[in-house]
Amino acid sequence: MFLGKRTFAVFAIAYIAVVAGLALTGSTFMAAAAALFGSLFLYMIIAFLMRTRSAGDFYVAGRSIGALPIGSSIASNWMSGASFVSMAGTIALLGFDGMPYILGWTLGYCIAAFMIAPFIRKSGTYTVPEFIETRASNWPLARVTAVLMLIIISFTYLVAQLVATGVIVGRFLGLPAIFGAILASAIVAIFAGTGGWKSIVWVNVAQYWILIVAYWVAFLGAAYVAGIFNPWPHFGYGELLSQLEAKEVANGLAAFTEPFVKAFGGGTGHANWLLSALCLMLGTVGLPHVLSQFYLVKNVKTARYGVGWGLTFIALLYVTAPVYAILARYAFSGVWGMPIDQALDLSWIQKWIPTELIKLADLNGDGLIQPPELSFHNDIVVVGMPDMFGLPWFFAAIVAIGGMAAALSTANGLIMVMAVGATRDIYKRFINPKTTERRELWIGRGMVVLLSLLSGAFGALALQDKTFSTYVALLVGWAFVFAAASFTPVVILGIFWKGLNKYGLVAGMVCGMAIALPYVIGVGLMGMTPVAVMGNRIGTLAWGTIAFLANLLSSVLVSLATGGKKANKPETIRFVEELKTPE
Amino acid sequence: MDSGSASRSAHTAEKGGERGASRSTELTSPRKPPGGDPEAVDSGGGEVAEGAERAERAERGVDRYGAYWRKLKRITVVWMLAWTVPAIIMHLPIGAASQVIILNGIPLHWFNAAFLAIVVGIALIFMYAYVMDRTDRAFKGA
Repeated sequence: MFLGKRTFAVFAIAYIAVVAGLALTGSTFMAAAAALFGSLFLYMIIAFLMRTRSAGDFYVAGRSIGALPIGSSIASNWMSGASFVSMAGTIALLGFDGMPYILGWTLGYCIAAFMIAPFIRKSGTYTVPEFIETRASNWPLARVTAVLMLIIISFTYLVAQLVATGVIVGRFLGLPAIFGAILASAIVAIFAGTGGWKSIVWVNVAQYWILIVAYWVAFLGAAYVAGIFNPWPHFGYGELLSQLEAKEVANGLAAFTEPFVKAFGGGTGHANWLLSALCLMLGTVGLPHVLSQFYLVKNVKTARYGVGWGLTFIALLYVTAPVYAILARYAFSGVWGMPIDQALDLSWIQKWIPTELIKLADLNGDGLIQPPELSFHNDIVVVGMPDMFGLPWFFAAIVAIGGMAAALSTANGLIMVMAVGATRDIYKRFINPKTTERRELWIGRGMVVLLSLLSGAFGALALQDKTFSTYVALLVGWAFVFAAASFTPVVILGIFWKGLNKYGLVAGMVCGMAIALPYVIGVGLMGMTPVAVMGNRIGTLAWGTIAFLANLLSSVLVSLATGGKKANKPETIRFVEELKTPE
Repeated sequence: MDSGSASRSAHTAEKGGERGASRSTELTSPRKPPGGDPEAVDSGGGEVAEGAERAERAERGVDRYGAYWRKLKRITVVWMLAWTVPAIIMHLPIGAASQVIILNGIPLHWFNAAFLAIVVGIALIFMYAYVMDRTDRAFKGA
């Protein structure tokens, strides 16, 4: 540990000296690049210090992590590059109608805390597929299905993270985005290959604090310039919001906070809004890389408090994003009504027009800018915020480092769940159960390298092929629908109801997916008209809640029809009872 | 308002647990004195046998865990019901809440979704962790 501290101190001093030195020579580009790559080097040092030769460390970080570090790790594992870069922008575009993202991607952790995390930890299993197999009366097919689902969901998610990293590197350093994506996959392989979860958790902890500081620094800077520190930005934006809404109404737009104006997930209305938020919550707790975090903690008590800290740390970003959105919209509204030449002279508009994140065109030829003539991509809100409020150059560099940390920390977790799944749930379970620990670890590392190569290649493909990247983005959005329709009900029922047997479990998953998949493909891809309930159109995300209920109902009915508890082996009943004993 | 109701229900849940535990001890302790008509002896004998079995089960810790499970179930139900407040109930009266303007210009329906609901969610998790942790210790120490 002493060595660790000294290495850190030396590194930190060298890092600051190099970045400051480059900045003083006037080369802000080189200073920003050094700061960005330096942060990657920091993560590598952490990963290396946490290297291990034990399979227990590799699979579950030795079940040793405390509540605060696991909270940070849960948060950074959860918040992806998209949360960091695009979330505020999505709210800026959708207003109140985008709020299911804020609610749905936070309050799912309550379900995790009350119904899942402590029990997953208590189960003593190593992976979610192992948990499902044990619960399904040691039925191997359940495990194989679970691993396959886990790999499909996580791999798509991982490709999206690599694309995000590529875009960030491209935007800030002007390097090709493909270079960024491949670099990211290589770096993640180094993090994961050194110590498995033990390295990844601590890298995640560092990445959390870097990403949240970066998010807040730019936010507080902009909030200060905008004058919403009365007394604190999260409560002080009332006047600014009234001004913005007055301007919107004057320009013939709907006011920013007016409910149910725009579509969400292809649906409209209050019911769609609520059901979409619920689907995201239910999907959260069915995502394998989320569940995997609950294995890493010291004990059941730590699991409970750890989820609390996790949501607290997530909330630091999620309650800030809506205010970010209002600030950005306020900056945009300042351009409305301006003569086009004057608008084109604004330095932030000049800087961001070449990236096509902002588009400005005098469509009606009146020489003035009306709201529809200034369009923006949702990424601009966070990456362009320092420029909109005239903050110095290093704010933009800090945002880039934060975005990179957010994308990498999610990628870390994803590659680990897949590597552990492939090693423990496939290799050790089915191919070579008598493997030595040494060999097991090397297989695990091999899986990490293989997965990083594959995902790097797919990431590069997604960056080149627009259609392919559209599908990746769609799949990531739908991952929540599929998770809510398949894993979530099974895990919850499996913990709380002894009567769930393997027939009910399979019937539920099949039924949930059979309800979810055709609807999502029909409405999301083929332009089918969504189902309407009392004037509310039910979008693809909202449909996930329906599929969840279908799974729940069919699991219960089929279990009861096939003998319920009696169809479970005594050791399965004991496994479930054991989950609900005080530790 | 929410924290109040949750902690109150937590209190009742805990009481319920104690009741559950005391019920099981009641069942193991009563033993009718032998005598009287044969039928009563018969039924009394059955109860004695059942009581002995229960005492044995309690010795193995089965009943204590049964009580723990009953209490855990109650706490889970209460907290999941409390969770519906930030997740659903708070966002039902959107029309009315949008007419309420707080903090110099923020409509309440927006502030509920952008801030309050999440803070309530965090508070619920920490309260749950605290109550469950105390429950665990009580059952382990008993």
